[in-house]
Amino acid sequence: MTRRTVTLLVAASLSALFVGAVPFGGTLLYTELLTPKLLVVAASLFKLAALGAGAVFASRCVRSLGVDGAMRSGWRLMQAWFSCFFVGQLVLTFYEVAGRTAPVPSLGDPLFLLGYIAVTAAAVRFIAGYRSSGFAFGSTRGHILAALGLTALFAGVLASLVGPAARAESPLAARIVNLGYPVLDLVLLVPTLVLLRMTLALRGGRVWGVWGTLLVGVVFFTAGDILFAIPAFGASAFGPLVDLAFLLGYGFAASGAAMQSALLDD
Amino acid sequence: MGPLIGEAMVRASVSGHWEKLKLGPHVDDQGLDRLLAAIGPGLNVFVGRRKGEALVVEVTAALRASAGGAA
Repeated sequence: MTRRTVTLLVAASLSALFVGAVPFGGTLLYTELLTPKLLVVAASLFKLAALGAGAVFASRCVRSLGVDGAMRSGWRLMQAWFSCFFVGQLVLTFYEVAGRTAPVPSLGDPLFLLGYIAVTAAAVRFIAGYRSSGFAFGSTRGHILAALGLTALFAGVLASLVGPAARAESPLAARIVNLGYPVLDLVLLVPTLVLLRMTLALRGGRVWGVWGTLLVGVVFFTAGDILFAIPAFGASAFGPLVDLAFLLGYGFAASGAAMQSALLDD
Repeated sequence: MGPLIGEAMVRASVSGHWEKLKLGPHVDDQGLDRLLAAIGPGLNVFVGRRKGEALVVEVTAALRASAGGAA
């Protein structure tokens, strides 16, 4: 069974499990067997496993690429992203296993912030790497226009998300954290979607599988994070879908790193 | 190269470099070397230097054998 098949099977199983919790959340299956507490803890452990594996495979990519260059520094930043998020998630897992609510901000937040900076910088480095290849990825003008269009679109989305959070009656630190994550997500999405657009030119090859998987992972994780920032959504019956987006995000990203490592070392 | 970077990208990149290097309709060994030298670094970006260089050697040998067979 190929790594791609395993990734898709795991993604399909997780999707069935978490999507099922939306319409069947009140049934015996989800109230007695797959209880909300069990799902939260299992999701946390899966996230830790995916982020840990991602850090290991990203470090293998750095080692295998050997010479300095945009792709090597990009993978080094990906390693930093996976590692920072792993430690940040470890903090959240502690609270979830203990059945406590993590404070906002928590000890994990500085690590998540560093992780965001690393993964955004990685996406920018990868764009530079793609361009340094000399391959036909389309015009620079087209990519800049795409980035500007996405920035304008996300600015609109951000204004509608940030408004209610900015007016919330909560401590300043909590407001900064609650506003900061959606902003960072949308900033990260711009280079990620530009990179995904460039990657489409590689369709049909093994390299497409690597980058498509990795970038879809980043898109899922940012989508989960943005949904999480909308209180009415995260606290509703659709809450399991937020968890699912994180699981698919970290899972696909780690799988993309594993596929790149295998491609370099085969 | 197709199984790695996709047939469409191979065609687009060969055609792009062919134009940039101003190669004529009939390419000789020297032109072929220049073309593969231009494509090689791009392969290194995605599959690493070791595999990229091995692939360029393999493609060069296959094209030369094919040209020799035709002659």
